[in-house]
Formats: sequence, C-alpha cells, structure tokens
Amino acid sequence: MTSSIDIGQFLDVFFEESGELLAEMEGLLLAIDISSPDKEECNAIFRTAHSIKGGAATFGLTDMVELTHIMESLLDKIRKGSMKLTEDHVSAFLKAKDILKRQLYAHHQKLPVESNISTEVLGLLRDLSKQSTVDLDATDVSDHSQAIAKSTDEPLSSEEVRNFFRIELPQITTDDLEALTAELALKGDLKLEKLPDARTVLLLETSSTFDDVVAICSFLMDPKDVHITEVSALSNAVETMGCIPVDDVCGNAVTSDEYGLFEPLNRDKTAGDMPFPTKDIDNSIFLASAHAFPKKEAADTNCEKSRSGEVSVFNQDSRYIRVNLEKVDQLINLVGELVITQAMIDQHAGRIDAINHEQLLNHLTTLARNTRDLQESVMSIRMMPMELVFSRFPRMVRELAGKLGKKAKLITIGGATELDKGLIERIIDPLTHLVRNGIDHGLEEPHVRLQNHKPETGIITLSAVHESGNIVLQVHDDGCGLDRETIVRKAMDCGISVSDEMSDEEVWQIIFAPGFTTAKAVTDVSGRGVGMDVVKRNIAAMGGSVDIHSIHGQGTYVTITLPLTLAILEGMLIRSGEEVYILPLLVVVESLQPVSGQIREISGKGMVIRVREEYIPLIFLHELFAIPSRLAEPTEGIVVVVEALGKKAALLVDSLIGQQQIVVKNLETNFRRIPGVSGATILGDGSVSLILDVPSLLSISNQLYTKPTSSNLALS
Amino acid sequence: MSEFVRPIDEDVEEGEDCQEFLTFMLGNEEYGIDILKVQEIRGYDNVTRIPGVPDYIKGVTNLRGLIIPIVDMRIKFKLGVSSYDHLTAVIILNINGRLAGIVVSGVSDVITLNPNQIQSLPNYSTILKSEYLFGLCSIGDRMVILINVDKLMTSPEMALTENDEDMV
Repeated sequence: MTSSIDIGQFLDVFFEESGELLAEMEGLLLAIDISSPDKEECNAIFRTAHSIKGGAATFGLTDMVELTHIMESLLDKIRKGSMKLTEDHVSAFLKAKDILKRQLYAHHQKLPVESNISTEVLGLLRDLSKQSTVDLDATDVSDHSQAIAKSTDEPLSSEEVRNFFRIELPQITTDDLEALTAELALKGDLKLEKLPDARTVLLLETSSTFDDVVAICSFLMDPKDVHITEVSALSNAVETMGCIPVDDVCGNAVTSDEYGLFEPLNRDKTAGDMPFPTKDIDNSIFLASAHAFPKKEAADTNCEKSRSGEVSVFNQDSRYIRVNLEKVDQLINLVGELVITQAMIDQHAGRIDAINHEQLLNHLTTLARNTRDLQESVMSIRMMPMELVFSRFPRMVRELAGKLGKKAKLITIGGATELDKGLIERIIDPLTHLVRNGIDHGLEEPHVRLQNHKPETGIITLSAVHESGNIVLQVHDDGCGLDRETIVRKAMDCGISVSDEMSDEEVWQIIFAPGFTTAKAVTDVSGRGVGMDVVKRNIAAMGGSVDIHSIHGQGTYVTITLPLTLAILEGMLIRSGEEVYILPLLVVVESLQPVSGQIREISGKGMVIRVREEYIPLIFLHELFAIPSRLAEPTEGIVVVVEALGKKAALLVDSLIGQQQIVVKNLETNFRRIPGVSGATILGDGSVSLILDVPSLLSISNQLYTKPTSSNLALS
Repeated sequence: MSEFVRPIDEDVEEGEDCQEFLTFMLGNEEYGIDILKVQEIRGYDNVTRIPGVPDYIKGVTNLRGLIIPIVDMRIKFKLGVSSYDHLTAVIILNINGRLAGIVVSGVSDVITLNPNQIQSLPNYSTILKSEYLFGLCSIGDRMVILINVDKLMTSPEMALTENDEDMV
C-alpha cells in the first residue's frame, strides 16, 4: 500500500468510535420490537454496522469487514421489509456484536486476532440470509430472484446516471489489483485491459461518481500515480487525480457498499423506495467529522435523505469534546483552591466596617456566589449519567432470563441522573449482582407467576434519583420477595445467631452476612454466597449504604444510597488539644458528654463507656495520636459514638467544632498512607486538617490495648 | 532568602556539562542540591502535625491546594537549632512529580559547577550516608556537600514514600 495519506492518525478515533457504535448497536437491538420493527430503528442499526464496516475497511481490518458486511446485508433486507425480523436475527446480531467487540479489542491492543472466532456467527448469519426466500411472499420472491440474477456484470437500473471511467493504474502487486478490481466490480461493469508495459487499465461503467472512484483507488495506491479519465457519453472531459485535494480524498475514504467477499445480495436499486441507499453514504463522515474535514457534496440526489441523517450525527458529535480526565481533575482542584481563597477573603471581610465598605462587601457577595456556581459547574464535568450503567443491563437481563427459563423485562428510570465518574465505575459490579439476584432468586418461573395471578413476564426496575445530596439507586423485582422463614433457617445452618423477635429489617440484613445463601443449588448465576456481603462492602467503601425492603410474594426493593461524589464529604470537625480533625458524618452515630459513672475500666482492655444499655469501647483520640490534650478527666471532653463495619466505638475528643462540607484530598499524592487517617482537606483558613479513618482507628486501638506497653502509635 | 538572588559566581565557566546547584545551610555545613529539583522556596507556615510519624516529619502543609509533607532536615541530621519563625526557609522539592518541603537553616546560593569541580567523596563517614551524596566541591574557602536529593527523599530512611515498612 503506497498511500501518501497517513491514515494511522485516525486509527484511535476509529477504535473509539467503533466501540461507541457497537454499544449503540446493542442498545438498538435490545430496544427493537420484534413483532413490528420500527423502520427508523432498523435503519439506525444498519447504519452502525455500515459505519463500522467502512472504518474497518479503511484500516484493512478484513475480519471485521467480513462480519459487518454480512450483518449489513441481512439488516438491509430486514429494513427494506424483504425479510421479517425474528428473535433469531436479534440473537445472531448480538452475538456478532460481541465478536466484533473482541476483534476490535484485539486490533486495538495489537494482539493476534483469533481467526476462527467469527466462523460460528458468520455461519449463523449466512444461514439466516438463506432463509430469506422462505419468509418472502410471492412478489418478494420474484424481486429477490431478480436481485440475485442482477450479478455484477448486469447493467444497473436505467434510471441511474451512467458514468464511464478509464482508470490507468501504475505498477501494483497482484494482491492490490485483485482487491481493487473486486472493489470496483461492485460499483458497476468492469473490464480489464493490459497495457504493453504490464500495467493495467480498468474500464468502469458505473453509477458512482468520479470522486467515489478516486476514493477507492486512493486506498491502494498513491493518487498521483493513477490516471482516471472520465469518458462521458457526450464529451471526453479529462480530469486527473493529481488535482484532487487531500481533504476531499480523506473525506471520501470509504464509499464502497460491497467488498466482493460474498455474492451480491438483494440490492434494490429503485431510487424512490430507498430510504437509506447504502451507496454514497459516506462512512468516513464519522471519521472525518472528528477532524472537521469538509463534507463532500452529495453527488446523487437520492442520497439526500441519508446524508441528512448523517449530518445530524455529525452535529451531535461536534457537541462533545474529548478531554483528558487529568485536566478535569486539575480544574476541579484549582476551583477548590479558589473556593478556599474566597472563604479566606470572606473571613477577613467580616472584620471590616460594613458602612464604609458597602460596595466592597456587595462585590464580595457576588464573588462568593459566582465562585459557588463555578464550583458546581466544574464538579458537574465529572458527573456522568446513570444511563451509562443502565445501558449494560438490558442485555444481561435478557440473557440471564433466557438461561434460567424465566421471562423478564427491564425498566430503567432516571437514566439521566448524574453521578461522579469514579462512582459510576464502581457501582456497576454491585448493581450487576443485585440485578442477577433479582432475576435468579426474585423472579419466579413463568408458570408459577401465572398461578399466582401475576403477568408471565417479571419486571426488574432499575431507578436512580437525587435525594438531598445523595443519589438513591433502587433495584426492584416483582418476584416472590424474601422468605423470612427460609432466611432464618438458613442463617441457623450457617451459624449466624438469629431469634424470632428480630424485625423483618433485621432479618433482611442477614443476607449481607458473608457466606450466606438461600439458593437451593449453586449455579453459575448465583448461590455461592459470596455476593451480598461483597455488595455491601463495596457500597460501604464508596461511603454509601444498602437497605432492603421486601414483601413476601410481591417483590423486593434493594435501595442503595450513595454520596454524589467521592471528592466532597460531609464532615464533623472535632478538636483534640490544639489540633482539628474531621470525622466523616456518615460514621457518626451520636455525641454526648460523659458522666463519671458511665466510664469503666476493663483491666488490660482499656476503657468502656456505657451508652444506654450498651458498653462501647472508649478510644482516647489524644492518646492514640499523642496529642497534648487539655483534658484532665474524660468527663471534661465529648464522646462521639462512631460505627464502622458493624462495630461501634466511642471517641473521646476535647470539643466539637461543627459540621461542614469538605473537599477530600489524597495524602498519598505527595506523601504516604498514615494509619488512622483516610485523607486530608484544606480548611477555610488554609490549614490542612486530617480526615479520620474510623475502621483503621478501631483496629489501631485494639492493638494498642492488647499490648499495654505501647502508649501511642509505636514507630520502628 | 535575599541571598538567593545573588548572582552566580562569575569565575565559573558556563559549559554544556555544567550543572546548577542550590546551596543551603544546615547548622554550619553547606549542602547543595540539583536546582532542577527545586520548585520554589517559601517560609514555614501552617504545618499540620501528623500523628505517628518520626519527629523530623513536621507534618503536611497546603501548597496551593496540594497537600505536601514537610521534613525538617535539621532534626533529621541533627544539625543546627530547630526553631520556627517567619524566616525559617522551606525548600519545595519536586522529585519525579512528588512534592515535599525540606526545612533548612538557610538558603545561601546558586552555584554553577562543571564536572571537574566536583570531587569524589573522601572515604569518611558523614551524617548523611555516602549513598545519598553526590560529591564535594569548594567555592573559595567554602566546602559544599552535594546531595543526591532524588535518592535521599525516596529512601526508606526518610519514610516519605509508601515503600517503607507498614507501621500498623
């Protein structure tokens, strides 16, 4: 290949866009109504396959071209109504999509592509194509057979513009020549002539435009070396390749409809009823759009509609820019800084005379508001819609239900609800688990559902809403609900202590215990009992909580409450000696002023405090952190009861300062992890304050009291 | 810190192999570090103590939104008196993108050295282990000990990075 244009720079764009197109394809396939497919949806699916094919062909990824080509052919029949869409089609297309994804990944990572991965699905698609004749009614059959008869050397419909080209090729390899002739043969009637100096001249009669032919050739050789002459029926106007602007050549990268790998399939050439003529739909617009290449003028008027379709995609694309996440984080940091500076100015402004400096104070108020707005907007950059997570589930629900012989429908609500990108990524696994559970344990078999006067198809609902600074995610199934008795019985088998007096809510919490399962048999879906505890732990690690609400026979609600972002935390500021620390408000249960009778010493085990009917281990923060404390007696301080990982502890501090939102900063960026500290933040006065890591504090204090010799954090 | 802007010694020839060093005092000794590792010099202010770390790690401070550790070299190497006021100099180092501040007795000079001026270390023990040292040089009647600051700051001995032994 001797192309003078470096197309390598587009490769990354191709990988990224193909990934998006594949995701889009899957979404469309799952959304389509099989009994009466929407024409626009069929067209949209077709376009995704077509676009991927175009890109793949540009970069010579023949395996992907082969697969998308056959998909496209089949889709073409479906969207034109010459074949009925069936469940089998959708399944086959989904399979093909998965294979394409693997191929795409392999190409991207420059891994060797398993040559046989597509064999099965190719066979499947080919079989489906063959079935077409069976499905067709009488008129369609005749159309179809006509189409079959319309092989490459048949003249095309007389309504189309006929162009004649003489293409004089340079010396090229046999492979390239074969590829080119195969390509051009699909465009129309092709004849080969040999020149005396072993070069080849191609004579092409086609409805394609000059630009199209140029584009095809430019993929195999340097455009400068090819001489294409348009031999019009009226005149012998001559144009040469050399004058074609580079942009235009790029913009026309792929125009081919067929790749000569298979026999031509049903190609309806009547212009009028071609809502989306494949010819001249310029795939590379997808590629080119990212680089703002001028879009080529439509050559055929019957392409107008398809073009406008593409243009809307073009416009949509240009509404987004891809930005490195680091830059966004940097921006967020800087704005955080600005907010702190603004708070400092505010502090000083509080001291100045309000009457003499009225104007200044007004401006400062405006500045404060603008700063807050700016911070909100900047934080929103990192926010992603939940739709990104939800879009993974239709496929999973479909397949899992199929595997388990159940019928399930997924409803998603609030896909536009936004969540921090970091959390979005981490919520996928827990949600997947809950949805699996809902289908496997929740939904009943179709016949059981009918017996219980429920619709045969179970409904799984995924919803997301914002609720006072939190995001609330809910997974609901309208299945059999949790069975209290089974859980209690199983809990006893697993050695978990239970009693009959436990409330339903407490019983439901048992399913979060490690190793607990109610499944009768371990399947590859669920039942291993390593699920719910992991779900709970993961969500707790994100600073969230999980609740279950279930009604026997009616279904189960699992509710996850998460903070909107990891970067901001609701914190309680506490003072110990001269130092200020922050406790995440989430772990704080209550705070109280201890009285002397409440505190007891357990020999060798430290102190405990009696809070109502409970004895809670007492941790002296100043002792733990070696802070010179002003406290002579514990009763002079404040006890903050905290809870983490199901364990309670009482933290003795000097005083509480207040509660505020803090921006969490990582200590490890420039320093290292410190036991008992999860991070740091910058307070309004510019000083750094450490955020206490309660679980780690608890384990430190445990060690401390089992080894009475060390009085504080011992260092080597 | 006004000394910092003093012109470079003119008797030193500029050349391709020349390297600039920032020199600072620790007690009565003068040390030099590669100036390319120095991000800035600032005062000692608003350092938050961190529990459970060696005494020479004074804590962390807010450097325009970044939280960076501050190490007092005077304590670490037992040189000079450790007192803190607005004149206490902190050199902010950038070691492979990680920032850390070191407290020194005073910043003295920027010197340009060509490789010939750097002598190898005499084989005697200094307070700093010789593996963290780069060489010696004399400027007039002063002797400057050149520190390999990369190696020093990332060493387990400084306990500034994650690779040292877990303390819990």
